[in-house]
Formats: sequence, C-alpha cells, structure tokens
Amino acid sequence: MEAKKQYGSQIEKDICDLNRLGYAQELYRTIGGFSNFSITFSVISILSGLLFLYGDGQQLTGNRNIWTWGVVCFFQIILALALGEIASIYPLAGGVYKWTERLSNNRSMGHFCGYFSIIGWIACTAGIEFGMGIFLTLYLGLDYNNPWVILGITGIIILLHSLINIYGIRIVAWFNDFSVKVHIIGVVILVSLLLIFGQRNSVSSAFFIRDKFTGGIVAQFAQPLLMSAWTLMAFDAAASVSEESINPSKVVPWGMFYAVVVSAFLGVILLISLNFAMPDLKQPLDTKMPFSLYIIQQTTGPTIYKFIMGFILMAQFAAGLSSQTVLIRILYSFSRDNGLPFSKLWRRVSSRYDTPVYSVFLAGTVTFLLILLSHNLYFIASISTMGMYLSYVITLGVAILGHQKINENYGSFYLGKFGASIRLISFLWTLFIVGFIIFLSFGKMERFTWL
Amino acid sequence: MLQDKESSFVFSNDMISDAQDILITNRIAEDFLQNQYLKKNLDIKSIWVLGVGTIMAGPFIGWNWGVGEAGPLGMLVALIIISFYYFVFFLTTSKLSVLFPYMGGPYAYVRQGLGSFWAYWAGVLTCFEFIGGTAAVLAAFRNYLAFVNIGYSTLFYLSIFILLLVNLQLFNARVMTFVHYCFTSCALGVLVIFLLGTSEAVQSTNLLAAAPPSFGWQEILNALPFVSLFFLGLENITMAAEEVRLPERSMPNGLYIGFFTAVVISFSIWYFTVGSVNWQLLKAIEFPLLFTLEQVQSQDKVLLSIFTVMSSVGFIAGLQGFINGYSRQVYALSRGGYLPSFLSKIHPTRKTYHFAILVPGAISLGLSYMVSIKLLIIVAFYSAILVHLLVIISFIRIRNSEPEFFYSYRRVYFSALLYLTVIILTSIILGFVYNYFFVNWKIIISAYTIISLYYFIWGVKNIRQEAPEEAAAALKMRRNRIRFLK
Repeated sequence: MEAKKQYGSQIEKDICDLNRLGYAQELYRTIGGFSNFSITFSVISILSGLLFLYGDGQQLTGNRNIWTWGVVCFFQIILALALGEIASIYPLAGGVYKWTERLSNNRSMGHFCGYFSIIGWIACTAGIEFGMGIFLTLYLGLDYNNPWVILGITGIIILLHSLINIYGIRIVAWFNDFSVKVHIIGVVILVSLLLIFGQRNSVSSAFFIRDKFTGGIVAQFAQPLLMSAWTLMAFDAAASVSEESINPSKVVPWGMFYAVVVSAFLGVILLISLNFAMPDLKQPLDTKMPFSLYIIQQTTGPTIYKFIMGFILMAQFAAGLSSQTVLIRILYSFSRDNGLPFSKLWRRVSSRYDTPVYSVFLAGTVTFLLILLSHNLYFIASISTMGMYLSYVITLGVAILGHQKINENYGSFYLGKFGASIRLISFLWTLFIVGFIIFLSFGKMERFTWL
Repeated sequence: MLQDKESSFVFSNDMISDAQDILITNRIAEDFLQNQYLKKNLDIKSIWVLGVGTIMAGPFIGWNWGVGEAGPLGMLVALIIISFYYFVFFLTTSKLSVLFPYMGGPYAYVRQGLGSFWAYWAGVLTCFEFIGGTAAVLAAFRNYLAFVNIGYSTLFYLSIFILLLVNLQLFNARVMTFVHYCFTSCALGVLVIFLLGTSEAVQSTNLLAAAPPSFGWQEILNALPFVSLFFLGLENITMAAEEVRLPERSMPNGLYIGFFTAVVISFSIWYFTVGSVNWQLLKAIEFPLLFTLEQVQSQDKVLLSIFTVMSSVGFIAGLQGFINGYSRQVYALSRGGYLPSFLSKIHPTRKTYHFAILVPGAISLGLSYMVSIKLLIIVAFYSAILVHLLVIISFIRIRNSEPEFFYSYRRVYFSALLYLTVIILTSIILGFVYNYFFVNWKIIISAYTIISLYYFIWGVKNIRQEAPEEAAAALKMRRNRIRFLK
C-alpha cells in the first residue's frame, strides 16, 4: 500500500516535470527501472548484432577482432555516461533530437539532428527485422536463395511487431523483460556449450590468431569496428520511452549505462568462446552460412544448434520489437513538434490502447519499404550506424557548446567536473566512427552483398 | 470463514454430538492464525512451477510401460482418457480452490462435501500419492545414475535428496519456488531438445500400423497408471492456495496453464517417441527418452552427452514438486488434528514446516529401496484416482447444497461432464479391483482397516475446529445452526 502511494506520488511528480518542459502527459506511464534497462538491452541485443557481423570481422582480422569489441565497449560506456547526463535533464520522448533542441535553443538544429536519428532508427529496426527474416528462413528450411521468401517472412515479423505495439506498452514491457532473460540465459548456454565442446584453440590464439594482414591495418580494422559499433549502439532507446517511465530522470540514464555494461560483458565472453571454438579458418568461409552460426553448428551438432537458434530467434524478435517501439516513440515525438509531413495524423494517440497507432503504421511501412528497396543487410546496418552516430555527433557538439546549461540544470544523473571531458571524448569518438563508416565501409559496398 | 473475525461464532461439528457446541472466539482464531501463518508470496508463475515441476520427472521414466501394455494406439486412448478426467477435475478444483483456498487441497474440498471421515481418507490418499511419487522418482533417479555410470551414484543421489530437503527446510517458499522454477525451466529445455532431436525420425507406420495383438479395454486400463506419469502430481497446485496472492485470479489461471502444459508435453512426447522407434523396443526400457535419442541420433555425441546429463534436472524438479506436495498435505492434516501435531510445527522465522518435510521424506526414502518402481507408480495412481473421485463427488454435493456459489457450474453440459468423469473414475477403480484386489485383498483390507481404525480411535478425537478447513466446513455444513455472538 505504502509502495503504491509512493509510486502514485512519483508519477504525479513525473507528470509535473513533463508539464514544466512544456508537454502534457498523453502516454501511459508504467515502465519501471528494470523494464527501461530491458528496452535498451534488447535493442543492443548481442545475440543479434554480434552473431550476424562476427564473420565479417573474422575475414579481415581473425581472432583479433575481439580487441575492437573491447575498444568500442570502452568508448560506448563513456558515450552512455555523456548522453545519460543529458537524458536526466530532459526526460522526453524523442531522445537526442529533443536534447539538441533544448540545449541549442534552436528548433531547426533539433530537427536536423532528429532526421538523422529517425533514419538511424528506421534502418536499425529494418536491420534487426531483416536479419531475423534471414535467420528464420534458414531455420525453417525454406528457400534461402529466394529473396521473396525472406521478404515474406520479414513482412510477417514486422506485422507481428506492429500489432504488439498497437495493443499496448505493457506487452512490449513484458517482451523486453522476457528478452533480458532470453539474452542472459541464451548467452550462458551458448558460451557454456562452446567452452565445453568446442575447445579447438589455445587461450592465446583466441585473441591473436592470423598469419598476416593483407592490407593496411586501419582498413582491416574498419569492418570489425562496424560489427562492434553497430551492435553496441542505440542505447538512447531508454530515452525514447521517458514519457512512459516512472522517475525517468533517474531510471533512463542508469538504464542506458547498465545496458551497455552488461552487453559489453556478455559480448566479451561470447566472442572469446566463439574464438575458442572456431574450426579451421578456411573451412567456414567457404560456406554460405553466417560464420558464427557455422561455428555453433560445428561445435554443438544439428539438434543443439536448432535449440540454440530458438534462443537467438527469440532474442532477435524481442530486439526488433524494442527497436520498433523506440522508432514509434521518436516519430510520435517528432510529429508532436510538427517535424513531419501529416504530423497531426502521426501524433494521434488511440484512446483505447493509449498508443500512437498511426505512428505504428508509419514505422512498419517505412521499415518494410527500406528492406524491399535495399535487399542488403550490411547496407542497412551501415545506414543505421551512420544515422545514429551522426545524431550523437550533433547532440554532443551542441552539449559541448552549451555546457553552461547542463551545469545549471543537471538532473539525478550528474557527472560533475568530469562531464566536460567525457562529453569531449564522446564527441571525438562518435566523429571517428562516422568517418570510418563513411570513408571506409561505404567505399567497399561490394563486399557487403548478402543476397 | 476465520478471516471474518468481526464477531465470535458458535458452530457444531458434524462428527461431534449436536449438543456439544464449540465456541471459537476471536482470540482463538487469531492465535491459531498467528501460529500457523504462512507467507502469501506465490503468484501464477509460482503455482504453475509447482504443478508442472512435479510432473517433470514423468516423461523421463516408466510411461513407456503403458505402451508395452496397450500398444501405441492404446496408449493414445489412455492419454486421452487421463487428459479428459484431469480437465474436468481441474474445472472443479478451479472453483473449489477459490471458495476454499486452504492448504489441504483435496482434503479441504472433501471436508466440505462429504465430512471429516472421507476428508481424512482424501488427505491420506493424497499423501500416498505424493509419498509414493517421491519414492518412485527417487528409485528411478538412483537407477538412472547407475545407468549412466556415475560413480558413487547412491551417495550422490542421497546427497541431492538431503540437499533438497534442507533447501526446502531452510529457505522460505519464495526461494524454494525460484529454485524449482530454474529446475523446471531446464527440464522443459531438455524436453524441447528431445523433440528437436527426434523431429525428423517420426514415421506414421510406427504410430498407426504397429497395433498390439490384444488391443482392448483391459490393456488400456493396465496402461493407465504408467501413462498417468505425465499428469501425476499436477494437483499439487491446489494445495498452494493458502500461500497464493489473489487466489480468485491466480488459482484458476495456474491450474489451466499447468494443465495445458501437461497436455502439450504428454501428447508431443507420445508422438515423437512412439513415432520414432518401434513400440516393441520401448516395452521393457526404463528411460524411454534417452533410449529413443540413442536410437535415432546415435552419431550426435554432443546431443547425447547434454541430454544424459541434463535429464537429471527433470528428476530433481519432479522430486522437489512431490516433496512440496506431501509436505503440504501432511502439514494440513496435522494442522486439522488428524495426524500428530508436531508435524504441523512451523519454523518461527522462516515459516516453513520442517517436520512435515522430513518425516514423510524419510518414509519415501525407505520405500524407494523396499518397493519396486512399478508398484509405487500403481499405488500413487490409484490413490490419485480415489482422491479425484472423492473431490468430484464432493463438488457435486457442495454445488447442490449451495447453488448460489456455482451459477455457471449448473449448466447441463457441465453436469454431463461431471457424471461422465465419475463413471470413468469408477470404471478405473473397478479395473483396479479386478486386476489387483483379488490377488492382494488381505493387504488392501488390512491397510484400509488400520487407517480407518486410526481415524476412529485417535484422529476423530483430536480434530482441531480452529483449523481453516474444519472451521469452513463446519460453517458451511451447519450454516443454519450458527449463532453469532455479539
């Protein structure tokens, strides 16, 4: 009873805070701290991103690719701290674009950042859903070489995500909590199996195997860096459901931070175990199967492989759902500020389900169109990384310029005297990633052909 | 009910002279609840785990003896019969467990419908079912460990048993449920691995063409005890009602979801096992799933290693469920005065009933060494059948005496389901009489006499009217004679 009262008063306080920032409470505020962490953790989804792009890193740097994960994790944690501090001040649906607008006092700057963010999230959602479509087609034993089959499966996945998102945030929250369990249990089972049955390499070779580089070291590391950067991004997902979270000023930044730390840790043990279990390097590269799945299948046999795939697919489904949820919230928020054509339509919230139904339709349609037109997972992943990191660059640049505002209005999550340097490092890091993606990855698009 | 303590009330017990009214005051009721208070911290997921966890050992042991008795199709018929009557049983208990959310479960329901003598019998038979089930799982687990050549298997198995008991004794219901949840989830995962491993080996000829030479009702009746291993102990859910938050919502949902899970498990195991290998090969095997996997996936060493090791989780989950079941029932009977009172002592801080766990545990440990698994299964099954029959008859009587609580349960089709179930259960009991009674009549009559004599000489004199099951029964059965004292 006491807890209920406390909850009730916290929600009232959150609504007052939102009103003070100039918005009315329209969405249903039910998400607690764990669910908030779950959304971000689900979107990061190491069982989706890492497993899918693992082979691409392996082709160029061998087991050394694990070091890129370490580097990316370090800087992403710093980035999460920097963005968390801003999220704590402006707990608004829409995330980075709202922060940019508020920090710069410039609506156009906010919208400029928002367009990149929307592009990033559309591509991120499309990437996860399309990736799952490919995995599911493989799993069901359907015609893997027929793109229409994959598109059909992906369409069904998008439809299911949209229906769940229409039906209500509680189901999404349940799925996110479920996703955390699936990810943690899945990684524990997978790592245990790989370590028990797949010890093919020595400890040192799990980190360094590879005879020699065939090109420049920077170019060779660009691709594994994309693997790590694409997997461990989008942690501002927590911010997008700020207006549905209880005590968002506190739970959003911590949700982001813990999601990155837990994902980083699980990612390390997953990569080490994959490297331990890797068979002869030349063998798997000849197959059409994703490299990570090939290692798992070779190590565990066909039946256990199917079982593990079940976990991976569940994790991907939850990741796609979370990503679409975030995209819908950003679209809703953007249209609320008349940032999109037909904004009146997209911002309409269903009185029956308390969800922005038309934004759901828009998100589903746009992601499907992107998949339909591109047909290329690596292209989608690159677009997503570029869009999202560019929005971070803009937000952090504005935050560096407007540091006075942060120091005056800080929320529950405040970095104090370290704030300025953390923001600067994060800014340089995101700039570096964008440069890598634009100048190296897009220049080598022929390597990314999947279908 | 005792929860309504605004006023004191007087009621008479049906087993005691009508003149001998018993006064239950607020103080007595409060003292009793204070001493016997159990934490209400179980939700739908927890009670689902209690039920499904208990049946987790079933798929791994002995059900295939039913195939040996009746063949693949005969076993399917047996499975349908058992699913049907469990469905009706759960329909009735979903209502009864809300009306009488007490730990006694079947004992509590029969107490309301048929009086204390049959309630005592329902409780004792439930104990037989769960203690027999515990002993059967223990014996099978021991054999399994010996089968997979684990050194010092007996010592290992004893250690696990003791560890579980200590676990249950030391921690509260919430911790215990979490541990049980982990074991149950792992066991379900192992079953999924089995289904995946056999999915490509199923042949319709194995399922349909290989009918046994003597397919008939006699064979199906013989198969029922073994096939019931898929469901035996699922009624554990009803005994958790007293520790459940919001029983009116959680109990029906927990029962239905648990039943649905058991149906999915049983039919899929039947389909994938019997469909993968010739049923003749399954007749004499003790561990059907491991045997089937060895037959169809002999090359996949990783699969076989994982399955062999992880199957033990199913035994542990089942064991924990059965221990939960008998301890709750023994505790409830002791609290009601039917069994010695030390069995219902509650740990002052942890609120667990350690004697009700340890004493029957020791009995089942002894039984696991002395009695064969088949006999233990048969005893547990027929005890369960008698309990179900008593509960359904009680339900009919309660419904007829207090129709205002059973509006939706008075429709014609529901009555038809009930009477059909009574007929099926009676037929099964007649089958038992035909198969076992005439051969073992001396033992059965002696056991019946001793248990009944115990009740008339000791039990009936010690019934504690303040126990919730007893108080509710007296309140209901003598409603018209209650005089409220202001």
